[in-house]
Amino acid sequence: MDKVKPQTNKIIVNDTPKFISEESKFMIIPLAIFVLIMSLLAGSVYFELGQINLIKAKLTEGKKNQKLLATKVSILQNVTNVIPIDLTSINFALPEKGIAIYGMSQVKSQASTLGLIITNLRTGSVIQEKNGVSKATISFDVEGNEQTIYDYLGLFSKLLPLMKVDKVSISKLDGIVKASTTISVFSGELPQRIPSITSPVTDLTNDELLTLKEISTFSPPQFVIPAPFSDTAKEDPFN
Amino acid sequence: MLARKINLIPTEMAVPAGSLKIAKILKKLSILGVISLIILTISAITLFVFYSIELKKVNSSVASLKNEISSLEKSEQKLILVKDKLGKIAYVRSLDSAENEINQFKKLNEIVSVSSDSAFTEVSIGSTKTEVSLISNNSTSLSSVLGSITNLKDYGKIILSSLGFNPMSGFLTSFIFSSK
Repeated sequence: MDKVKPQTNKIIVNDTPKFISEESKFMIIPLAIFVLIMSLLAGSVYFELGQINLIKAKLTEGKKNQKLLATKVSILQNVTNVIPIDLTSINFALPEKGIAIYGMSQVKSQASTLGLIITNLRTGSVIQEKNGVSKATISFDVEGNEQTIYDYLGLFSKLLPLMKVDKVSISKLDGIVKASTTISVFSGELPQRIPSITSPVTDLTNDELLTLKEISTFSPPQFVIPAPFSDTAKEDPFN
Repeated sequence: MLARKINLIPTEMAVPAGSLKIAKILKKLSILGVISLIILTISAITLFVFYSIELKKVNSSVASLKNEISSLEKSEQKLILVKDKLGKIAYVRSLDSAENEINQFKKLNEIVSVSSDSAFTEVSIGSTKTEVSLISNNSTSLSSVLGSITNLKDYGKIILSSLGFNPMSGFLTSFIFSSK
């Protein structure tokens, strides 16, 4: 018996089998175009948004800097009106060095003005405090009228450099009052860093202005450390 | 004569209607995508150009402000120096001092000075407390001084640290006055 071969619906073109169906072939081009366009769209959204965000961030930063610098300029233009030209008081309030000499000078000069006698005047080494502030301790005995001694001790809070009375021991013997006093004289180092142009500055607060005004009324020391001579060309002795 | 659509493609080769529909949708979506791409690109370029111009303006303004600040360098140095000093001054002023105790002791001294039979023999004034030694010739003057001391409102705490009697000099008392 002849076997009947089952007929298949396979389409044969050029005698080669077709692995991709006609349906799929028809869909390839529109799908490829669609995928390409969508990829382009996604890529451009990603790229454009990235660029816009970048320039926007730069603009925000620039505007922030502009505002900060404009405020700074306004403050600096006003500085000359607020801060006095002569900064001697503020410089003497916390000198960088020589506090022990300034302090001893004040102790003696103020006592002699009030007619008090100073003995056992001595000073200790400079001790580093917080915030760039240092202090030197000065001890002395002061003799004289009791009330005048109290007045004298009250003067230290209004003297330059800034001083504080740490301890007073008062003894009376045969009507003579003697006060063994310990005071602290303070110094402050100058700022170590110069701030950058873009760093912000704040104006003086009301409290700071009041302090500035108050300090300018304090008595500066009579003793002044002489400034070093400037380098001047020496005369040639052989000419 | 009506035009007739003649399809000569064999029926087995005809694309199914569903695929045709999907292809049409894809085509429409692709056109929409192209339009979106064009609009988005134009918008992005416009926005970019706008921001660039703005940034250029801001940068030139910042540069001019920086120049202005450089010309105000002396004022800036002055301000920084003053601010630094004022900060340090504020710190120094916040430190304890015996000044308040001295002022309060002045009042105490006035009270004791009123009585001729009482006097301070030793006084030690610190930043937080004042220690005094008092001599009173008789009990009347002692009680008078004690009465005045109890009326003092400047001190937070008063401690009578010792009380003694010497037939030669009288009553010897020691107090510790503390403001806090």
